[in-house]
Amino acid sequence: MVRTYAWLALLCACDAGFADPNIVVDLRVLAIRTDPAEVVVDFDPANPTNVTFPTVTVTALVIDPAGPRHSYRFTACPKQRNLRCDGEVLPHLIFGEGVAEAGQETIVASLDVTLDLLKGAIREDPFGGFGGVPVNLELRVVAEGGGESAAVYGGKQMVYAPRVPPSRTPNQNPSFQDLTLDGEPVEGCPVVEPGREVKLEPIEPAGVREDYVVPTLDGGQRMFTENLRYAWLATAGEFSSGNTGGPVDFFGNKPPLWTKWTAPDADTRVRLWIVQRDERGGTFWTERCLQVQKPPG
Amino acid sequence: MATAHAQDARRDAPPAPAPAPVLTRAPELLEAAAPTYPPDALARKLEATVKVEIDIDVAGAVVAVRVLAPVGDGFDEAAVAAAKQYKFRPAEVDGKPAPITIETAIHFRLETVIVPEPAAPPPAGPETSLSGTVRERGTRRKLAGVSVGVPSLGEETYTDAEGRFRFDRLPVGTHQVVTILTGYDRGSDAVALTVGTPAEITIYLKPTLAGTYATTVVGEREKLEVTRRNLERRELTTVPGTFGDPLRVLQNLPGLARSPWASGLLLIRGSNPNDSGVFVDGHWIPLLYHFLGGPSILNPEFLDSIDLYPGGFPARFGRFSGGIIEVNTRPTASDGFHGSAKIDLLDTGVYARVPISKDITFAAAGRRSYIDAFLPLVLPKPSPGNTLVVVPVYWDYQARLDVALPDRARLTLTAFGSDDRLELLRTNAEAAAAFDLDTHIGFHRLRVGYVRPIGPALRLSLSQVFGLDALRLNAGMQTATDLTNKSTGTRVRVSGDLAGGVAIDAGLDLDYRDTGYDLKIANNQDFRQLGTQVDIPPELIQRSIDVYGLGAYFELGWEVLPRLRLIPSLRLDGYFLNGKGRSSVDPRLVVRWKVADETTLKAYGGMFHEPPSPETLDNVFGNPNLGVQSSLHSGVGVEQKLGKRVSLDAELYYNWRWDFATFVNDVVMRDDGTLKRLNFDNVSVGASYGLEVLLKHEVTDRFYGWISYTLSRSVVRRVPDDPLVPQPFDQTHNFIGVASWRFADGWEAGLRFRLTTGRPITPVIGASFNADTNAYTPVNGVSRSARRDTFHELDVRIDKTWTFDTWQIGVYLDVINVYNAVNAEATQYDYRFQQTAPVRGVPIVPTLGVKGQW
Repeated sequence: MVRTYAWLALLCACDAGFADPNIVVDLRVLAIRTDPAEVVVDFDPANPTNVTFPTVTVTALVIDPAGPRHSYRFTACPKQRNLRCDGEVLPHLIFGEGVAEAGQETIVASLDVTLDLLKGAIREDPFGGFGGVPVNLELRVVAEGGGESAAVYGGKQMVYAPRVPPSRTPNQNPSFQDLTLDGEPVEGCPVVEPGREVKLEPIEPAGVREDYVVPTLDGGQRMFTENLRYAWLATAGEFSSGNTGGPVDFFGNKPPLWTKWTAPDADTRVRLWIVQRDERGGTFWTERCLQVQKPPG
Repeated sequence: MATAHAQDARRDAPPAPAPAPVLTRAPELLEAAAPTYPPDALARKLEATVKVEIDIDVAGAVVAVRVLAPVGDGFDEAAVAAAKQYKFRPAEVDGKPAPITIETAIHFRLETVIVPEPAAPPPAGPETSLSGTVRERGTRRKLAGVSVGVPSLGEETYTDAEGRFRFDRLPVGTHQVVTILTGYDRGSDAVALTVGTPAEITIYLKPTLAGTYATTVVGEREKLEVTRRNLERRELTTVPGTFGDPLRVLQNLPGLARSPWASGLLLIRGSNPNDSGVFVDGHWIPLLYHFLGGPSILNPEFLDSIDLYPGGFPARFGRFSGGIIEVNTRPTASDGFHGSAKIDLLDTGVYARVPISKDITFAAAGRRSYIDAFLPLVLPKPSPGNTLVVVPVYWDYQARLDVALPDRARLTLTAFGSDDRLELLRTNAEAAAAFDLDTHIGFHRLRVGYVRPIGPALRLSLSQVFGLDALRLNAGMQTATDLTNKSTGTRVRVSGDLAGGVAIDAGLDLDYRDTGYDLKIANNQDFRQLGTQVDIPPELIQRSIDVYGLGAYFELGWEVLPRLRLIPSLRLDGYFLNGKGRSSVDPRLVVRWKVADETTLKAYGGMFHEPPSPETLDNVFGNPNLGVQSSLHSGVGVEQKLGKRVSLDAELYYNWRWDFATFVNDVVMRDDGTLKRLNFDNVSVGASYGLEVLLKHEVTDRFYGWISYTLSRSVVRRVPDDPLVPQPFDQTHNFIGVASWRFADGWEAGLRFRLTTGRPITPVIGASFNADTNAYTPVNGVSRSARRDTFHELDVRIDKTWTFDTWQIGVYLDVINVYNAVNAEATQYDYRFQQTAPVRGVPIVPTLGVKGQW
């Protein structure tokens, strides 16, 4: 009975006044994409020699409303639970480092995985590279001149997979172009009255959800169809749900793709980012804007 | 003419009979030698009263006499010499002879004998008889040894074991009948006797300090184990913060760590909750408490004794490696229809005990919660999206039939069970359509027991139990779990005393459990999921696992030297787990050395083994090749009596655990070169060590209390490459103080204060944005290198009991966390682990309850 009360107390303690994760007010890494989304080549994880892996382009979406120059560094290392490649993690490979100019919101680097790194990743993998070798990509960003306490980190998993089963093809990054606002296509920077709630919904192109095959531990294979998830981010306002889509929920319901956004009470121009992800690391994003403005008169 | 004689107080004021239900017959003085008046004291015309404590064995012989308050002048020695000549009819506990300790006073008085005037002849006239029964007010319990007198006629007699008295020839008229018994208010009733009509009366005596329960006199049980912590009924039902739930009181003893949110987890000496077992009447049960920290599954009235063995437990308990809680149900022996009913804000329960015939008695109890009915009335209106409130709905039942058989044998039939389900309170119609939660857990036990003496001091116990456990956790279309355990258990036990101060406890136990489960689950066991959550269609999996355990044990209590007792034991276990056999051998040794009457030293060491839980042995989701888990318990301690009512029990212990099954993320290669997940492996190790101290004031008419302190450290290494880190519930200091006072007029008040080191936590020192999941991943510091804030809480309980001739009613107010300490039990983080907020523990919770008994 005591714990029943405790649960009730918990229920009432959920709102601790924390910042809204979907409203971007300071330096944030919002997304990282790799091209290709996945590498699938013919190699044996037990002996990964004499293999040529393609160059991977890594692009990060980094937003800082304050707009200073930023120092950045990309590092690759074996998969880490906390997504970090710093400290004692070996081997690691710094594959991009420099300064992003003020206003530069995408940071790009190229990764050519080394044999040493790949072997290290296989060694750290409890599956020994079965089904794919996960490599951790870390991005460190800090406003120029800032210390470690001001640095933000982003991480992503890059998979180098052997072509098992033979029909396996690499994952493709998803995409979508169309967005509706209260059912109408969004073009330009639509005007929304202060405090008004609008419904935003992505329109997925046909075939964007890939079918894919994975090897099973007993030597067979299984087929799946991707689910797509959408992250909603803005510089102001409030979302009814910051993440939509995704797999079928606990109760068998297919989650909706739409969200509702409530405009702030004052006139402003709001930047809106929608990040689309599949469950295999594929990523796409688009930016739109919303003009919050009182109606004339 | 002056003369002198010593007077045995037992004849004038027989000892307070034991009111506890466990004591089915008080010891009866059969022979008493008149004490010899010390010559010097006689010459000096000194008088005295010597209070003594007498240990009586199972045969009724006096084995020890202690002077409680020496008076000197030779009186103490004379009193001891006289008491040693006493012969008793032995006390009986649960219908069988049992050792007991009583107190009495021996008076030495100088009397001047005055030759009386010749007594006036009784007035001639009609006479009649007067008989009756003396009972305790409120409980109607029959009182033995009550002095019943008619002063005006110079008549006096005593009540027998059934509380009966009789005067055969009394003149008709109105007489004042006076009743006297230690511990009760003096009774005085006017009785009118009429010609030709024998009078039959019932007299109710009021306990001097009436309370919810009377003080229990418990015979000291032979100690064959190194550490057993037991509490008396009154201690078990009036401890603040426990809502009168005896099984919750255990958590205030050394050896049990505080469980978060009052959840009732059995955290015994650093072991995992599943490694400790709860046995009811000798058989394991799967559940001690109702859901979500609810009350225990046994009605308090149904409990007879509760013992906690925090380590080094007796050999009759097997297949567990942590600690043991042994619960025995209460014999139904009854002198009439008795019962109780309790109601508070959360549930209501009833209990009844009734004799069916001279040899057959029956008791039953039941309880049902109704928090689901009233909670919606008091809950705040939920905010949008915050519509799901889960509350527990529970009920339980217990029934027991006792049949007395010839030759002091007894047959017992016991049935009990409990049922819990989670009720969704929905206040939002939109949300109601989206949820389908069907969660239920229940168990039932039917036990047949047979006990009979073998010779003068041995006892044969046979019992067979049949069990059915059901667990259902269905949530929507994606997942469903229906788990059923069908179990049987057999116990054969011979225990008692042999000649030469040797005690034995030997037996066999056989447990069989068929665990069957139907799972609807998204099965990802056959492939590797490298990304985030995949849409895996749920599939139905049906399987069962058979688990057999056969144990044989032999334990010997051997007094190798005066005051030095060795208790060697050996337990052999065979297991047949999911088609594969295992075995274990557990040698153990306990040494108890009574270095003085007040001081006993103790030491122990031994092996304990435990099979892995059935689900970890599953062919697909577990590892069918898991072996048994091992632990070593060791310790040294002292039991010290500090005066008449205070005792100290201190113990240093060290437990080492190895080969414990833990989840591993490894794969193994099959013979055909393909891979298989290992899932679980016997690679976890751990250790617990510490000091436990229990300073306890025994229950008296006015007070009981104890101070419990544990200084401990528990560490675990989950997998071989990990460091040893504190166990999740490790608590360096655990202080608990309990005190309860009983006042006049049925008032009782108690306090409980707890001060405990915060649980270990792993500090979060940063975070990374996971670009694959759109969530932040914490960067942790050294594993479990920090602690939550110190826990402290004060609880208060006030009872008021009104006692009438044939029934009692009581009201209690139990207030948890009186000063509303925050006591953070968890930490809430913002989305990127930069800001924190405490998730508070149990706030101030007042609970009002009413209880009646008759």
